[in-house]
Parts: sequence; C-alpha cells; structure tokens
Amino acid sequence: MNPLSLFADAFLGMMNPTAILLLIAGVAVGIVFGSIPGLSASMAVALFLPVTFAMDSHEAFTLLVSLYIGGISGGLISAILINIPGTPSSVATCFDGHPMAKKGQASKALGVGVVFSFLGGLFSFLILMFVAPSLAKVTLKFSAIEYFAVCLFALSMIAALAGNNMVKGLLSGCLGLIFSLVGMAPIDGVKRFTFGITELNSGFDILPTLIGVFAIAEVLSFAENVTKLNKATHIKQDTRIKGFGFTWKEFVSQKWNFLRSAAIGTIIGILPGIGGSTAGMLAYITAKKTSKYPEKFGTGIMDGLVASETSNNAVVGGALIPLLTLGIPGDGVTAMLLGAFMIHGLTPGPLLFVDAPDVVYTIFVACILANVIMLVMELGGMRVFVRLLNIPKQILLPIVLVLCTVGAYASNNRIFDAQSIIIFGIMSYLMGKVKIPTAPFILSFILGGLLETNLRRGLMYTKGSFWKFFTHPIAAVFIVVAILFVAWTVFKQIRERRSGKANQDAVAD
Amino acid sequence: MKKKLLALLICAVLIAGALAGCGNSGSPSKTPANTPGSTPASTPGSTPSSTSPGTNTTSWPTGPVSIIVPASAGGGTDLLARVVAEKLTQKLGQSFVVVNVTGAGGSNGISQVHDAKPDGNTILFFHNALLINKVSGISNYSYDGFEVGPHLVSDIATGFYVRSDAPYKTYSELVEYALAHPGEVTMGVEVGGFTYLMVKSFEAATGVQFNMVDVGSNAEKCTALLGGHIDIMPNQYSTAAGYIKSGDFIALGFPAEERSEVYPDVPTAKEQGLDWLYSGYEFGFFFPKGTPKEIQEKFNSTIKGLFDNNEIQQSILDLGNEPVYMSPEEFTEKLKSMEENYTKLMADVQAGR
Repeated sequence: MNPLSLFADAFLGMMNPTAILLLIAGVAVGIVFGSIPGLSASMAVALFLPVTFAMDSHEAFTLLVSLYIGGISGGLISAILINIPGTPSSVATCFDGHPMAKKGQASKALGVGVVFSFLGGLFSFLILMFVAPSLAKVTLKFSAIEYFAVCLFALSMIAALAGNNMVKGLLSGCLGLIFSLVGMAPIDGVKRFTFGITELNSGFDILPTLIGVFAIAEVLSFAENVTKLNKATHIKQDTRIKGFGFTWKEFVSQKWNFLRSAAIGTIIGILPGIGGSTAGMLAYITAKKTSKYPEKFGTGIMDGLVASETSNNAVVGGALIPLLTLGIPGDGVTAMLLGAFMIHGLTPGPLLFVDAPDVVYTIFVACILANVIMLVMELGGMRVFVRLLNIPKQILLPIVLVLCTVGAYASNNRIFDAQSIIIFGIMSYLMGKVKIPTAPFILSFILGGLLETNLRRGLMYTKGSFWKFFTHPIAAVFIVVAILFVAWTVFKQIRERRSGKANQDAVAD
Repeated sequence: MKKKLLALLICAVLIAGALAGCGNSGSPSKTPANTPGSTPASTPGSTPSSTSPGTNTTSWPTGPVSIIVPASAGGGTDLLARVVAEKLTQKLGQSFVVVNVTGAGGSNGISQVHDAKPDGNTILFFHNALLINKVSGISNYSYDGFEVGPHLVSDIATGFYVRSDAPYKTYSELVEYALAHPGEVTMGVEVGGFTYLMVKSFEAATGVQFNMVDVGSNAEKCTALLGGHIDIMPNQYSTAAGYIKSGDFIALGFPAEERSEVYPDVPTAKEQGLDWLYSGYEFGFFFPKGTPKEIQEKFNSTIKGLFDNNEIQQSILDLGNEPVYMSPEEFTEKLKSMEENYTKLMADVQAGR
C-alpha cells in the first residue's frame, strides 16, 4: 500500500461521528488544561489514558493526540493575557505576548499565537509524515556525550537571556543550576542538599517550580499594588479586529523567523528528553539574536511570540518521530502514548509501519485534523478569551492561585510540591525586586539535570576523560559553538561599554 | 454588565473543568494519603494510634482507595495497577484510584504509603525495586516496613540482548568472548537498579568483567544498543520485542528455571549450560503497618477470587506478564530470599570498589 492511499483510508476512517466528536472534545479539553496554569497537557493525557483502554486503537489515539495538541497550544492564552504560562512549553510566550496585551493588543497577540501555533504544528506533522524514518536515525547518533554538548550549547544561551547585565544573568543561571542539584544525584544516588528531608530526595519538580516562578510571583507583585488599584489600571483593549488580527504584510515579514523556529522545535522534539519549554526559549533567543532590532524584544513585538509559539507546537510532531519509528518516548506525553500502544497490543518501533500502518496513518490524520480544529476553536474563542482581562484581577488571581496549588499537587500527588511553589514564588518575586531576570533561572533549572546526568554518563563512556568528548564530531561542534557564543557575547558587551553605548541600551532592558 | 457576566461564566466553566479533572485524577482530597505534617516523614515507626472509630473494618472500603504506584503513568507497573484497579472497583463497589507518585527511584511513593494512615485506603503496588532501594540506601523501608499483601504478577522475561551483528549469539559464546577480552564488552545499565544487580550476578556466576556504562531507562538502553554506543544490554523482553522481530536484536535468554509461558521461544540460560539464576520482577501489594487484619484479609480474598474465577489472567498476559497469585505468606518468603540475594550482591559491589 502506498502512503497516499493509506492516508486517504485513514482520513475516510476519521469521517464518522465518533471520531469527529473525539477530536473536538479532545482539543477542547486540551485547551482548557493548557490554558489553566498548573494543569498541563501531560495531565490531560494522563487523565484520559485509562478511558482509552476500552476504545479501539484508532479512537484511542485520536483522542490522545487531540488532547496533546490542544494542551500544548492552550498554554498561550494565559501566557499572553495574565503573564502566567499555562503549560511549561509556553514560558517564552510570556516574554513578548504579555507586553503586547499590555499595549492593548491582546487580540492581535492571541491571533498571532494561534495562527503560528497552527503553522508550527503543521510544519512538524509534514516532516513527521514524509521524512520520519530517516530523521529518526539521527537520534541514534546521539549518545550521552552528544546530549551533554547540546545541553551545554543551550545553556550558553543564558548569555543572550541575561539582557544587559551579564552578572545578574549569570547569578540567575547559577541559582537555577543549584536548585537543579537538589535531591539524589544521577547514577550513584547520593543525596545532596536534602537536609534530611525525605521529600527533597527527588529534588524540585519542573512544573511546580515554573508555577512558583511565574504564577505566584505575578500574584505577589500584583498584591503589592492592590491598594493603589483603581480604574486607571484597566487597559483599553482593541477588540474590534477583523480576521486574524494581523496584516498579510506582517505575516510575510515573519517567514524566515517561522521557518527557523519550526526547525528548532522539530529538532528539539526529535531529541528525547529536552522538551517544549527549552525549544520555545531557544527559538526566542535565536530570533532575538538574528533580528535587526534585538532591543525591541521583550517590549511586545510579534517576532518573539511567533518564535515561541511556532517552535513549541513543532515539538509535538518532532517528539512523535522517535516514538513511532524507534519506540523511544521523548517527553511525558509520548511516554504515556507508548503505554497506550502497549495496551492495544502494538509495539512502536521499526515494525510499526509494517504491522499497523492503519494506526500510524490514523495518528497522522488525527494530528492534522486536531491542529485545524485547534485553529478554528481558538480563533473563534479569541474574543471570549480577551474578556478574561475584564475580570478584576483581585478576583481572577485568587482563582489562579487555587488552581496553581491544585495543579502543583496533581503533578505528582504530593503536598510537598504544592508547598514548594510558595518558596519559588517568593524567590522569584524578590529576584524581580532587585531586577535579576528569571528566564536564565528557568532555562538552567530545566537543563541542569539533563546536563549533569549526561556529563556523568559521558564520562563513564570515556572512562573519565573529558578531552575524549572532542573525538565525537557532533559533540565537538556544539561545545565549540557554545564557547564561541559566550566569548562573542562578552566581547561585544565590553566593546559597547567602552564606547559608552551601554547607557542607551540599558533603557531597553 | 453583559461582559462581566460572560467573563464570570468563563471562569466558572474553567473552574468546573479543572475540578472535574482533579476529581478523576486522584480524588485524593478524600483519602488522607499524606500525613499533614510531612517533614517528620523520616521518623520510623508508623503511628497507628488514630484508629478512627468511623472505619468499621468489615465494611471496608467505605470510600475511594488510592493505589500508590511509584512509577510514571503509562509504564508497565502503572498499566498493571490500572488493570487491577478496574477489577477491584467492580468487585468492591468503591473506586480504586491509581495515584502515580514518582521520583527518587520510587522511594517517594514508598514513603508516602509508609506514612499513610493504616485504614486500608492507601495501598502500595510495586515490585523488587522496593528491596533494591533499601539495599542500595536510597529508601528507608523495605518489605518489612509494610504489611505484605498478595502477589499478583511475575515477569521473568528479563535477559541480555545483543545486536544481531555481534560476535556472540548465545550466553556461552558471550562468556568465552568476554573472558578473552576483559573489560572490552560495553554493558549498558542503570546503575543501582534491578538490571545492574542482574549484571553483577552474571559477573559473579561467570567470572567475566564488563565495561559498565549508565545509559538510563529500559527504552534508553534500546536506543543505545541500536545506535552502537553499547554492545549488550539487560532489558525486559517487551521493551526489546520490536527490534527482535525486526532482526536488529537477538535475545540471549532468561536466567530462569523454566521457559517463560509468555515467550516460550526464548531459551533459558540454564539450558545453554550456564549456571546462572536471577529472579525476575515480582509485583504485589503492600499496606501501611498497622492496617487492620480484616481489611488485609478482605483485600487478599478479593484478589484470590479474581484468580479463581479467571477474571484477571488474560489482561495481565496481554501486557506481556505472567499472572501468578501468591498468598501474603508465600510472597513474604519470596521477598525475603530476594532481599538476601540483593544484599549479598550489593556487598560484593561495594567490596569490589
């Protein structure tokens, strides 16, 4: 059977009321989970996983895939409107999305986010359909040494996230690394910084940390100003926008940014374990670094939003590539999809395309249809979402606070996680007070564990020699680029400071 | 005004959605899975002092029961737990909810159950890692920190796998090759885990020495073997099945007394003339110390009933495992002998370094 007829069969198979209902329900529930801070796409999938046991395999994957896609894209809504990422993937969406909303362009920001989410997803699904098997082989080239190099490279991006004050940026990055060290060490399980507290053995979880750093800090800094509250804080929103909220010209101007971000997202997706939040931030930084007007990033421009939303949705298609072709799950959601395959008696891996091509193509079709439904639903709901801003914050934020606490608890069913959001919230609030950026903290916290695990594994391969890392070509390239990148950034800053330009740039901080 | 109403409505819908979600995910609000003050968790000796008068033992379960699984959703342990939870819900008329508490090699979930109120509403479902975590010092409690419940599943289908282009295709060829090339064969393990001790027991039985490299979970081991980063891996058959069928990997065999019922084509190490036995994964239930005998007995007889009426076997077989019922006493004996073996192996490891 050729791929086209398989695709057509799968498409026709999907044209029945049950499948369409599952698609719509899946995307809708996914968007709700994605948009509520604290509840994430992986929670939506975990919740519905048992429900799919009783379904046939086609229906099961239709539902799970739509939940995944709805969940990842739903995160942009709260990121843009209340500056709290709805899912870990949409961290970088806050950077420019919320400033846009503050300028009264909330509808435009939502329109841009939704459309580029759709396009980013579509890009990665096309890659998944046409070149999955050959791309999957790339994954095999990556041993711990290569992963270490990629993580090091991503970490060097802190230099770009740090803004104009490198010292504060590095401080924030180091804090992130330190917090990622808490708990049992990789490989030998030595307990570090646990102070005899059993709960600290597993360290801090990523989701509660993000909730604390973004949501709790946002609530705290609002609470600080609550007494000064009056009508003046209300931002007039330009809600009467036709179409998607942006012009064709603006759309075309993003084409290179789009392609680059989609590629970054897909590649990060293919490499198991790195994840959507890193992809969003990497794409954001790359867009900023290659832009003609990097100083405008963070003030509410389309480019940053496009980069983040394109790449975090492109991760979905990317993550499905190693899952379907090699049976390797790349993140929490794909790990659960792997479980779903087992329950339905299928083994993802080299033979899946031979044993069950119908299921594979059903997944492809479900991806594309769910993506379309996501676009329609979010564009249709845009005018309704924007109204969230009309709810007084003193009513909205306490609700958000409750949901965050519930979400933190639900991430691992531990009270400790719910408590830890308060610690990170206060810390992030204080960091804001002394103008230390939180983005480097998040990036290094997420990457810290991966970096350390892969460094130690890599050293086991080379029997303790770090220099042997350079005998792996892929690793060598990434390490050298990382070093050059940091050196170049530092050099540029020194030169700017000498020529007295630093004063002007500081304004754009 | 209309706008405000609408906005409030959206809020209400969102919250309703969230609440509905959480209700399903754990409904832990009703189950006191956590002791309120979670800091003194490490203090040993559970406190069954608060035998609340409301819990009439014979009427158990009166509310939802949490089955704590110290592994992530979608994995092998989780899927088994969900299969049983569904049956228990049907039989006992209360919902049995699988709650995933991951982290620290499973010891988070283990200590959560250890510290839970012994009222039958919190039950642990886990395997050998309970013992290994204690032996390697990651966790504070072994099986004797709990009331041991019935055994449910055996999985002996764990063995060594090599790429099909490897110069050795059987255990005897492997031993011969590895003895001739000491420290050259790279073995991918997860240091401190079940398969790590398995490799150690192989080394002890045959005298070979591998170059041990940590590559992580079972799925990651497959990638590393396929990518040529390691030469051999210990793994569960189900994880490697796709690659064996495609001809990429060869299964050397299982270190068991007899062939697996699920995979009868795979030889044992014993029939290849190798004197090497290593017990597989044994899954079962554990209650917090002090859980009333009546509750334990009711739970046990329900599980036994599922086996007697042939209601659960097929679902377990479908997951690639062998359904084996053992009474709490038999299971305790089994755990005891496994722990002795692990303690010995771990002592050898520490002496060797």
